Amino acid sequence: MSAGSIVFLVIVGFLIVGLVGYFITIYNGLIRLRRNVRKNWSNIDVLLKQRHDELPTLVSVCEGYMKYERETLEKITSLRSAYLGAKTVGEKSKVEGALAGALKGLFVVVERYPALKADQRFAQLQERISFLENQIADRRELYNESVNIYNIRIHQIPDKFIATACNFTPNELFEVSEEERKDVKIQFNFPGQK
Amino acid sequence: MNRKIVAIVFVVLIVATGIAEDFFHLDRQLIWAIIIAVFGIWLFFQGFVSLNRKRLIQNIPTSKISALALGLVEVIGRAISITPKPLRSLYAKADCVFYRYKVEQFVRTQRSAHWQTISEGSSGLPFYVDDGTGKVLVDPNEARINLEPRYISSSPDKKQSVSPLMARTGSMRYVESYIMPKENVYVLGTAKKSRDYVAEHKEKIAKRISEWTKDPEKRKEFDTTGDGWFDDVEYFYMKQKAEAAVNQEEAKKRAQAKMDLTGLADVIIGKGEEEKNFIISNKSEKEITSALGGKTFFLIFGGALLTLITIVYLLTKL
Repeated sequence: MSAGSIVFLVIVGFLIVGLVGYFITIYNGLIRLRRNVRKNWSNIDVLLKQRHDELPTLVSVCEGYMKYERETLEKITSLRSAYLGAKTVGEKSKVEGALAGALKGLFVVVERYPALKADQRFAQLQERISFLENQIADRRELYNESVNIYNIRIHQIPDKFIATACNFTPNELFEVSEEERKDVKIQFNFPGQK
Repeated sequence: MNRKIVAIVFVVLIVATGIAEDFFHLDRQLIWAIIIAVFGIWLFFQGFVSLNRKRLIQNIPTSKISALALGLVEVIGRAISITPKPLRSLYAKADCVFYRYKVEQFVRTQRSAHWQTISEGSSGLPFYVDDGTGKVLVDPNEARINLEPRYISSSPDKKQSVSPLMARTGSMRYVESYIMPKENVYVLGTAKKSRDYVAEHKEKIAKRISEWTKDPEKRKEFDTTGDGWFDDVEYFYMKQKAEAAVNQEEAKKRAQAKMDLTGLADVIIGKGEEEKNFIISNKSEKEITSALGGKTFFLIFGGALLTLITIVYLLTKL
């Protein structure tokens, strides 16, 4: 074998090993990204579950005082049940948005019930739920950022080639729903008022 | 650690070259050409390790400390000392939350002249990172510290830059890098459960003071007025001494053994058991990835080119 052929073979060898190494790095990167997205979602799910666990107690505490707000309380209970039936991130995000909106509404309505506001159990629950909501908001930001990085990666060349071949599909963002964005309307329906 | 491995490999190679030359009558240049070719291949693969690290940094979103979850995380914030007063770096005497030093001696051999590390170490104490939403402890033990040297001196107590051109055999150099209080830091590491360092540190100091107050020799040392009581000044001095002794012991302990951080109450960012990537830097994420990009390019193409040139050389010799 001539010296030229050996040099040519070495160059080809480096190119092949280099390309294989590059694609392995991309593949491993995509796997890590997908796992990150799942992990970040699980971290939100844990907080959502903690918040859902507080809801039955919240509703039962409020029921004793809020005779005229049955609709609001029932909405919270039904949305909590709806979340259990939601499968995809999109569905869960929608239900969560509605639930967050309903809770926001409830905490505004509470202003009309000084006795309830003064109840220590209610104050503790409100504080705990608000704390969880803030944490959910922060983790939602992190989840959306990881989904964004993942979605961009799988559409970028050369990652796109690996993503298409290995069936990496885009993930859904955990978006803020319209209900959460809306300002809460405060209606003072005092007993006896039409 | 890596430097020690490289030094051992280097010594082994020199010995092996001598053996090959004496017993197998191989040409020394030929042996070195083969070693360089293998080194080029090693550089080539190191390039992919660097590429992997670069992509990891790019792929991990920055977490807010208030909502930090366990596992691999990236946080950016201001460095804060865990002690009420910041640490003082060993040679520069600068206020800092973390420092790393290296003492080097200029060595000239027949073939080369270089700075050889005589001793190195770090403050070892953890520090907080505060991003405005909260703060988290960072244990710098075993981290890949990406800091530029801020102090280079020819003597332990004065700042005077020493360049290799000016250095003579035996010249000493004291190099120090540190993170200043409130300086922005980038941390990529594993968030895990830990004990409360500050409380534990305070406990240790209190215990040491209590031990000293019972020790007649120590009582004599700190009770300067000899009235059998510790007044404010004496107590303050004793507390300072106890603090210094505990700090020194902790730094020594950290250098000698890995600390047990499992089954504890608070969260700390450190090196993971499975996830080995742990980076602390005072540069921005963009600067780090940009530097890694350059390093990747240099290692992959440089390594391949080095091997190729050596192979061409070998072919011409054979």
